[in-house]
Amino acid sequence: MRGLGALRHEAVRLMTRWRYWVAGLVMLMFGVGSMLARASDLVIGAGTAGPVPYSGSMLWLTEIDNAGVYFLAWPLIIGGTLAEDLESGLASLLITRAGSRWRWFAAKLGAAYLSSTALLIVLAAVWLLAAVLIAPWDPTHAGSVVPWGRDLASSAPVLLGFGVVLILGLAAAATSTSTMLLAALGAGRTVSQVGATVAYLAFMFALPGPINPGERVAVLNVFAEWATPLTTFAYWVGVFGLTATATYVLLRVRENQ
Amino acid sequence: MNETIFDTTTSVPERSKVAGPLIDVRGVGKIYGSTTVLEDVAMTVRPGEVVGLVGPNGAGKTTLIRILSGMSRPSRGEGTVLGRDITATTGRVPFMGLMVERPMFIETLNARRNLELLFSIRGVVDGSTACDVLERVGLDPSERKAVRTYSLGMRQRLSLAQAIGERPALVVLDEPTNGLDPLGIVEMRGLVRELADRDGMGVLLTSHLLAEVEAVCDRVVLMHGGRARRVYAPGDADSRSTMVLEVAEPSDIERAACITALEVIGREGPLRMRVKVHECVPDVIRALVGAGVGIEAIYRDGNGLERAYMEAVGE
Repeated sequence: MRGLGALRHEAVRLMTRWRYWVAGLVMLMFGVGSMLARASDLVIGAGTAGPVPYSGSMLWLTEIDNAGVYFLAWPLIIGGTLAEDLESGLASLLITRAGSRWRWFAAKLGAAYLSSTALLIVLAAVWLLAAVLIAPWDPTHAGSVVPWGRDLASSAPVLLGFGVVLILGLAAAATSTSTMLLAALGAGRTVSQVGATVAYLAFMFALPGPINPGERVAVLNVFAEWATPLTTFAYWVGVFGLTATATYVLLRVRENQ
Repeated sequence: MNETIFDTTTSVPERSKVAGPLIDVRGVGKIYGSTTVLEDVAMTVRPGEVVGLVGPNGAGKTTLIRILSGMSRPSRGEGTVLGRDITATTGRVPFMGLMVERPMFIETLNARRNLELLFSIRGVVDGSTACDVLERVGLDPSERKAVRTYSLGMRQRLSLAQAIGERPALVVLDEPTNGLDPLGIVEMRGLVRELADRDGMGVLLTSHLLAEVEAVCDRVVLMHGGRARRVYAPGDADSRSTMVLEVAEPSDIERAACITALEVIGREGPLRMRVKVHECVPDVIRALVGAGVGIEAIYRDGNGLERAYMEAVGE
């Protein structure tokens, strides 16, 4: 299967980067530290008669939702591969192997999603273990920490948490794909990575709520009507699709110039 | 072009039976904006043939390779590479072994794992091929060290391994001797010849080492200013008949010039000249001795490509 081979090559390439592991370790420690710091706090939320201590499930869901804040780091962690390919000639080598440009490009997009989601799943799993060790799991009041999905948080917190992870993986792939767009415009590896991060930082300040990326990485901790996990999922699908399409078109235009 | 060339499961010896050139392009040009970087280039590469592409930086070699490997469309011209129309707008790219100038691998993996991953993209060879091809290019398949620790020469060998491992019909080698030590250069030369002579592959290579190109290539395309200025064939009769004659005294030069068995085509100092011989070398030597020329040495001109290059670049 040629497509799978190209996907495997790109995924291994991303997942064996040292910064992928360093970033994972840093996120892991921040997450566990954050849960430890929060464990002694009390929380007042809907459905509770009064302040209640954080349960393991509440700690975990809070941490999962907070992981969205790392979206600015993904261009630095898994971005820059297209610029590398174009600078080194690896693009030619991989395209002639993959058989078509589209297959090669799709492998890059797929690898971006797989590698980011895989890291987030591992982090979520380790945080889950840590949360169980830090406090009793008891999901009875888990809904009190998430404005969206209270019932699901209480009845199936693990399902809800990993569902959020899949959306955050999409956000990570979308933001890292913007490094490809910059590379297609002629930016080198470092410029494309830093440029994408700076651009998203600027978008956080400049764009209105529904299209603000900062608002769209808080999947559960939302209050506006437009901010539901479904619209957030659609938002990142749109960003991912538009960025990828623009990149591919630019590559073809550049190639034919 | 015969469609069987596309059949990647076909072994090279079978593929090389397919009649016709692997590369056959004419009038190829490329214009970026108002700048012409490639103009009216024609080239053929047949199975079992090693063709060199030489020229100064900016001569258009990389642009030509990008077009031939399907990475860029020509602004004008026509022809096929492995049966694919170079003007085609489709995204399909024919498989050829490519060795790029700046070899790039997954730095944290060893050589064998890198090859296995690259080979898995097309899936036409199994994992054991990685070991075989590593041995063939002089690398140890059991080496566990990550590629990031490799010298440039080792990377070049690994890059060649990935290019030839899947037994492509056509191999494009961009600066294959870059970073190699003298022994490595000699080994690389032997390996390239072997790919053509034993495996029947067509090889297109670029290099700035003219002596190496002359030693290994059947034909050399000399490029300058985006044009193919000349095609030089190291092994053809014209090249083989060019010799260097070194004599004992300056007056010997005049005596040698009077001999009909040779023609003086250039003087290089008071005691040396380049000649074109019209008869076999023993007969020429007899004629020289008979004319009283004090012969110090007579040998085939090994710098023919260099001269052709200087002429082409100087035009």
